[in-house]
Amino acid sequence: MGERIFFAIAAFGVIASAVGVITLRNPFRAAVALIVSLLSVALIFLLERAPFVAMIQVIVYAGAVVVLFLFVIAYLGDKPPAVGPDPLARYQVLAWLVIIGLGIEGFLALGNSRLPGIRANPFQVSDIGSPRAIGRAFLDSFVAEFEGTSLVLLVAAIGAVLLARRAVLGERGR
Amino acid sequence: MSVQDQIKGFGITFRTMVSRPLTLGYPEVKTPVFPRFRGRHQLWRYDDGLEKCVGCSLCVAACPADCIRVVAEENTPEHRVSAGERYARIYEINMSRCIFCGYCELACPFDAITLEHSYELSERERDLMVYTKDMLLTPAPKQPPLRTVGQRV
Amino acid sequence: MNEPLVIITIEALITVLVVLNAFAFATLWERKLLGRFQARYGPNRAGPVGYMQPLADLLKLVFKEDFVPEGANRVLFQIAPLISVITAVTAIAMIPFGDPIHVDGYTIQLVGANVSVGLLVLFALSGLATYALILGGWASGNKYSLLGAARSAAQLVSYEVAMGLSVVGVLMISRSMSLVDIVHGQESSTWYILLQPVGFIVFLVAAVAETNRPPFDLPEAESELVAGYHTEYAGMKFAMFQMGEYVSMMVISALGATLFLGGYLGPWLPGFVWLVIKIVVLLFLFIWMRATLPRLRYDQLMRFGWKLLLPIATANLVITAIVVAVFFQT
Repeated sequence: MGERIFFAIAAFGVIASAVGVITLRNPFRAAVALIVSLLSVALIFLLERAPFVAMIQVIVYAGAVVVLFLFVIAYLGDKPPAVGPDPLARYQVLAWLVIIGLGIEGFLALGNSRLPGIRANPFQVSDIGSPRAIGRAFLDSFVAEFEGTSLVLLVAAIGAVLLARRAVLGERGR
Repeated sequence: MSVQDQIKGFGITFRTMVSRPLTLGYPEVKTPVFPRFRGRHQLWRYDDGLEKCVGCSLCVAACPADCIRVVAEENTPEHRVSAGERYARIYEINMSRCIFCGYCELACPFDAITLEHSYELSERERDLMVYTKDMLLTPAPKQPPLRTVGQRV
Repeated sequence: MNEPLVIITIEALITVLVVLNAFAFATLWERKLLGRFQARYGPNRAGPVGYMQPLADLLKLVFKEDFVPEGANRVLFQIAPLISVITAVTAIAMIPFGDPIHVDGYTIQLVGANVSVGLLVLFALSGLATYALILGGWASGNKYSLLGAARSAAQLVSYEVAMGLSVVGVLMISRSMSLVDIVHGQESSTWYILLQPVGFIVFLVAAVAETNRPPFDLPEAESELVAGYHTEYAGMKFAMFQMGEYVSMMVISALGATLFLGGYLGPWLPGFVWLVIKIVVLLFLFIWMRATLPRLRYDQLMRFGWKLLLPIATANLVITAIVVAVFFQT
């Protein structure tokens, strides 16, 4: 019973704040809505017996990534940009078609799947949420993907340093 | 700032912590003063009760802040106040203007006015800061203690 | 947690009350200790040893005008101090204060929530505390606050990484992220400070930076940015920011004590008392650093965090991993 209440709160929080992110005009408020959305997703992770992922979600996503978003918003100011008529207004019909199509596809996929969690009596597959299981997954089963991801991050970090260095050198030369 | 310097810094603060603080517990403990400390003024009398001040106004001339007011009056045989020909009928010092330089003490040829040690001179009203002759004749109620040579505080 | 709701509520109430009182007297203790470091007494007028000073400060702050600046974002302005306090006080739930006690057939756990990833929850909460700074700084509608908030947020994010890495060595030794298990691990072996001295030092430095304490307090430095992100806050909101700062200081001290100094372990005194003693020792270190070290300039701060602290933490991690893998493989 308590799980259902929490799930209702978390699910409602995710959807409402996600809607808030894309509809709020003030970018700062949209970022705060994003924080609420990410925290609700962390709550859902907790309900799925994955506390490690939930905490990592909060630490990395809500605790660092959105902070960087807020930096950018803070420096660029919070006035919504003065836009004229929407240049993509003609393609609204296509957008609606895509939404409806994706919705139907989603319902079909979730309705017919054999995911253990969707049955009437969901059972826990195995220990997949604990740090031990995740560690083993990283280093035993999926080590190539893990190393590949870290390589991508390393390239991104080097690229950022090079870009910053070029900007700093450019300023000094002037 | 090297690590050794930082550790020395920590040593200094720690040693300061375990030693006695330098704070003086005012107002329970008064700051001691040296003997020649220039505090509140005082007008003096001779032993027989006659005032030393003759109203010559040399202190008025010497005062850089122009805060002394003297009005002299002839000594009559019936009413003899000072030891000379004249006496100061009105003698007022505006303490809010006085800079406690001691020039009035240096200028007085009769040692009638000196600066004593009292330094607690705050008042709540500006009018009370003008000291009249009667106030100046009587010594201040409590004098702060004297500082000895080599005293720590 | 199978205890009845009543016991949980009572525990929570006691904990919150104790923590709030501890905050009040921590402010007094800090001022008196700083005074002693500076060859003077601290506050000693309000009450015999000055022990009424926190009450006097509280009364003064309560009577101040509770305003919102004109260019400010009302809602976020009021929420920011709340976030600061909530994240700090919630973190107390993870700290174990002793072994479970058995009373009347009930078993009372002396930890708010024995989560299997308790350590991560603490890091998550301290990560969320950065929002108090950012939102408060931006919502004040004041350039200085915004600058202070941005610098502070960058500083917190940087030192969070170093703090996390410094703790992984302990995780590898104890093989669990639950703080209760970590304390039990130190019960069977030794205090982890002996096994991870470098980790402890890195954790301590990162903790000072995480709580915006001197020498890493540029974002709230009075002489630099007026008062940084809490320039526009007065009265009770300012008091709440202070509460958040001091309570998070105590929480991080408690975390350091639990991870490295054996938590509530200790001979013949009750566990809770030992934990308080260790927290007090770490708080003393915090205050000692405030009294001694000059403030780091912002670029020095960032350079220190990324170029010195992070490599040291990583090296500690690698060496610990090698040692544990080679010598203690189970």
